[in-house]
Amino acid sequence: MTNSAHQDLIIDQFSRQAIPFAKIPGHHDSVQLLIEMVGAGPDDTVLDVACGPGIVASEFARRSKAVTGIDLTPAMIEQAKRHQQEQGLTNLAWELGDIGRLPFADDSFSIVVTRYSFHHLLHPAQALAEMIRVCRPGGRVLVADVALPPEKAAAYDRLEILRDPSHTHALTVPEFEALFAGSGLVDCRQAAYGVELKLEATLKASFPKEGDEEKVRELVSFDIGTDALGIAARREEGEVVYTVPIAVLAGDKAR
Amino acid sequence: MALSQALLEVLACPGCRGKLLDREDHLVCPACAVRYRVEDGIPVLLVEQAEPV
Repeated sequence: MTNSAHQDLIIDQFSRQAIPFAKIPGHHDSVQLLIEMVGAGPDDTVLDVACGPGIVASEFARRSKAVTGIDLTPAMIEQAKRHQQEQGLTNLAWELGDIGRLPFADDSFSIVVTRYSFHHLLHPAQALAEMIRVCRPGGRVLVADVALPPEKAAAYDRLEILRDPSHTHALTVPEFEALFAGSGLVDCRQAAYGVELKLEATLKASFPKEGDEEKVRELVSFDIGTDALGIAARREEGEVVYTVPIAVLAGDKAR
Repeated sequence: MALSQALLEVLACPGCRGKLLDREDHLVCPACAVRYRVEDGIPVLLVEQAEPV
């Protein structure tokens, strides 16, 4: 697929997901872990790449000097601005732009983060290189995203592409580690957490192609007790729930 | 809404990474001879949406 056709898919999906995405409770948890892993403080200038509705950017803004959020989807930036206003935060700026060609000079920020974006990318290594380029020497770079064990990755990708056609490939844990190991970042560190999702609520916030919603429902429900998808699908109080495993990798840009 | 000085200092052309000039409702890249619009205070810094100047 061409880059611009893929960008169109992302914008189409995320224009529709902009409001429901921000309402999924799991998306507000875990930001604290990211903040701790990069040690955000009052002198830091932060870039949140593929910032979506600004959840991560706004949390960083509470403890940093200034935060810039950039995203490809105008509807997401609108949500981000609204979220910022609701929170009464003033040290945030927003831009529309592409992770593969960040519109910033070299060495511009002391912290550069992205959450839940890499599985939409055609060229993750290029994106990480861009994040490192705009980070100052001695600054911190962090990526948090879905990461499956290698033996589950293909099945998970098939499921996610049905649910969200802008999904490309969730990196496996070893792929993530190799990406960071080859990036030039130093003092790399790693953490993991799970995002618990209810199947029906997630489907309501998703915009699959016609007919694919039922396929997603079946794939997840049939995986209970098997876990070929790597998301620990199970039934709780009559509802199908599952847990998406997230890897967080952070490193410092060499001085 | 004006863009902050701190932001203008770090913004660069997504095409050539060169400095951008702040012109009313637009950011101009002299090197690429293009401009990027600023909508409601949000710069649209996408190569695909650059307009020739």
